[in-house]
Amino acid sequence: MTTLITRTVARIVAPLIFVTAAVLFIQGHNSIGGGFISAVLIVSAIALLYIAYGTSDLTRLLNISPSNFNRKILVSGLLLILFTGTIPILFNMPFLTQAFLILPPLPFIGVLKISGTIFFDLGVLFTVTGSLLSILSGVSR
Amino acid sequence: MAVIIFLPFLAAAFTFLVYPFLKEKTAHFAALVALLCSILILNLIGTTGSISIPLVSSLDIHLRFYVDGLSILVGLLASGMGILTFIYSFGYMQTKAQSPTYYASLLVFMGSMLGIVFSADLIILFVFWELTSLSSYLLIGYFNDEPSSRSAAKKALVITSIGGFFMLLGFLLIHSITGSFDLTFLLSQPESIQSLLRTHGVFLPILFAIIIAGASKSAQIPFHTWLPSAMVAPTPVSAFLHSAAMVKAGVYIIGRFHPILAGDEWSLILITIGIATMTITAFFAVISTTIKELLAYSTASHIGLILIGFGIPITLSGVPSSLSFVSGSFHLLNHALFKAALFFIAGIVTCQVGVNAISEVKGLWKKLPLTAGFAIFASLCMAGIPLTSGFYSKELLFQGVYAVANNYGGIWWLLPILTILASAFAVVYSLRFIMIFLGTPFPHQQDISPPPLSMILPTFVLILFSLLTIIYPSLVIDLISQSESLYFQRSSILHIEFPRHVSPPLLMSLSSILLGIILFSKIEQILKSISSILSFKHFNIDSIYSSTLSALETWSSILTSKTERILMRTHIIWLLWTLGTLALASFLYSRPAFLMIYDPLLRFDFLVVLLIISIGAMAVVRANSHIMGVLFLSLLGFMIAVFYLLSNAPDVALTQLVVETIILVVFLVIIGKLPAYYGETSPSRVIRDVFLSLFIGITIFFTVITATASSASKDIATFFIDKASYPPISAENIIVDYGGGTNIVNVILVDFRALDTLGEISVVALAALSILTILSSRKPGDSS
Repeated sequence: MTTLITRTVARIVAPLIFVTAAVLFIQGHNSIGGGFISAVLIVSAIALLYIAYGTSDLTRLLNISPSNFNRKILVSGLLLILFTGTIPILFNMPFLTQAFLILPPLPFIGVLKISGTIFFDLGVLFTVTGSLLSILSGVSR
Repeated sequence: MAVIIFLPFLAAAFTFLVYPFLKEKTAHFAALVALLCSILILNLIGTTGSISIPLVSSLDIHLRFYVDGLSILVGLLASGMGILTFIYSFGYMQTKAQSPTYYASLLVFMGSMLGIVFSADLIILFVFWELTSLSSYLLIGYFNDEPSSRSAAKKALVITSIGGFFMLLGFLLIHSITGSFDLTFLLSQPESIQSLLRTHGVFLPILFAIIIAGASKSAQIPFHTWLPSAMVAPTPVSAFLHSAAMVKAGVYIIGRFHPILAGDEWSLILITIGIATMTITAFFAVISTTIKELLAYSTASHIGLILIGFGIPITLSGVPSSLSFVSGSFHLLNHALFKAALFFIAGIVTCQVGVNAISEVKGLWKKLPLTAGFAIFASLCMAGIPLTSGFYSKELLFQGVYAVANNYGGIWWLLPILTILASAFAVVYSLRFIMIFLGTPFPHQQDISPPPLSMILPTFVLILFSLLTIIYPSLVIDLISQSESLYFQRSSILHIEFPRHVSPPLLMSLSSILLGIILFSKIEQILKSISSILSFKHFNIDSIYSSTLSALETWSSILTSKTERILMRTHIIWLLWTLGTLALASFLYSRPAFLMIYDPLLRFDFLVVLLIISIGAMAVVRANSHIMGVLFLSLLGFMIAVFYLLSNAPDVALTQLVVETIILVVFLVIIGKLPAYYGETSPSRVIRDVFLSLFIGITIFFTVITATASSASKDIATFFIDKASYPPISAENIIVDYGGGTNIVNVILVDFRALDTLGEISVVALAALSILTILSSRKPGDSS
């Protein structure tokens, strides 16, 4: 399966998918995108790398034990949501209350806003990425 | 307020981060956290009240907290004992295998204990209750290399979970009648709540449920068996969980519901359980062979005494008596102080001398003079010798027991007699504990080094507090009475002082001490005769527990082998038939409105997509290899994505596209491990499958048309459209009410419906973990 063509294509395409995933994640609040879809994109890029280079090569390259690492990502996503969701309770607001902050205008960039939901979405991203990667590496073993 | 409870949990998470730097000094970090909690609780003394933070408002679950004398008392006990336990652990764990899990689970345990004590919402209370069970499971099984540790941890978990189940049942019953999970509301009018429950006939079930919950946590008969087994835990854990905190959670819950449930049945059940546990476990303590076993049984016995205290009726011959609540709570504190000290001393003995059995050690006073002094003092408290803290609280309880007997007469006179007997046993086992320090030491136990400061200091602090309650008993009594008078709307300040004239309780105390000393002088003969005639340790609750457990395991494996030894496709076929039948039956029953949209101007592009989908579906059926089947199946998926795109849902289309890709990859990976071609299919199987698919198709068709017919109200849509984006005008920089995003679907997902999304991704995570479990449990070459 790992021909030179596949490897070359994977080498070019995978970073593009990662960038796309990042863009979709950031713009998710205002247009197409979000934590779930960028998670699935990231997993598809990693799957592409798996197919092109094989699991063992990639594991050696990144120097991680995949199954353990995937599970850590999964759990850290859920924990992130739990912890950030608990913060509003300290301000007498319901669990998982979200807020956003409008920053004062910046030069060249203009008005920016930061939404607290980014942590929630990041948690979704981590959990879904970890789950799908665990499944993928589980069945391909 | 909420900070007190969240702090330990947060610290538990941080334990793993700081452990690589601090190593065994993590104990100090944890002790600091406990200290902070205690200071915050001390701040609350003298206040009563409640706060409420909505958590899941639609289910009436709020994060409600409630503060009164009893909760401050038990909360201080938990956090204060936490400080001492962590300091002690520093010394104790030096020689043991260290791990951050130990400190993290202790912190989680402390946090959940504070959660139980301060939460005023029954559901939240239940969650914390189960958390204490879980963390104690980790702590009891800390030395998880040893099978005895693992089975003891499992036993504690199983037994306390049974109690937790009953508690949830009781809480749900309370909610079904009163419509409230709010403890503050329930406690504000206990009498009317009780009569409401009685008129609906659920009073007795609730009473049983709450008492079973409390008794299982507090190791009362017939649930006492987990406590002696749990002694395999590290000794600081035993001191914390099994003298001051975990077992006191059961007592706390009974004390908490005392105002609502107190009555004749309450008194009868509690006194029966209490008297049985007190007498029987005291006897077990007398004949036990190891130091920690003695302490464990004596703990169960003392808690039995406390339960009797809570069971004393609140009115005796028409005269209101505040003995019940106050005597129980007072003994709760005294017992925690001296018993934790004794556990600490037992830990010092096992660490420095290296033996567990009582008969193998004596005369330690020469080598460990300070420890011996503390041990003698604490044992005298446990025995209830005059002028010690145990004496005062026992005196109150004797008074109550005597009053009950005097009031009801007849068989109730057994109560004071058995109490005297159990107290005599208490004197005997206290003397046995003292004896390991007195006398001439064994010759081979000469090289005993003094314990480290971190182990002797916490013991000293506990002894100091015991002394304090001896000198100023009213301090504690005032604190408890504060909450008690709140419930009963009457000021009832009890005064405790050394009795100056002869009274029945004093006579009871003296006679029990005398009987104890007589029994102790004959201890050798008693032990010998018991061990020769009785092998009844084989016939006890423990064997019932283990035989039930093994029977359940056998049955379930038989049941599994009968039902699960079939092919995966048979499972799925039955699942689908059942699902379809249930769905169609529900439609037949409820007869919902159908909505059939007939659009004469059906768009041409839709028709094209539909055509490709139909061709693809037929191709899936006709495909003669796995690869072809899967490829055509994913053609269907991609066409559905195109359909979404055409219907102006680019979000959903993109998601469908990417998910379809991943599924294709997973399929292809699996197919690589399967034979390349299908086998021959028999005609009967084809007919069966055709009927099943038709049936499922019909089910889905009806589900879709009913689902489209019932559209949600317009208000929700306008609410989301209004609130998802920016507020019209706002002076503030931080905006909570509005979503601040223009992609309404995503804003709903992460903001308005965040709890649902959390649930969904939890399901995703659970599915992934179960797939991993199934994959890793497969044996190589296993074909099913």
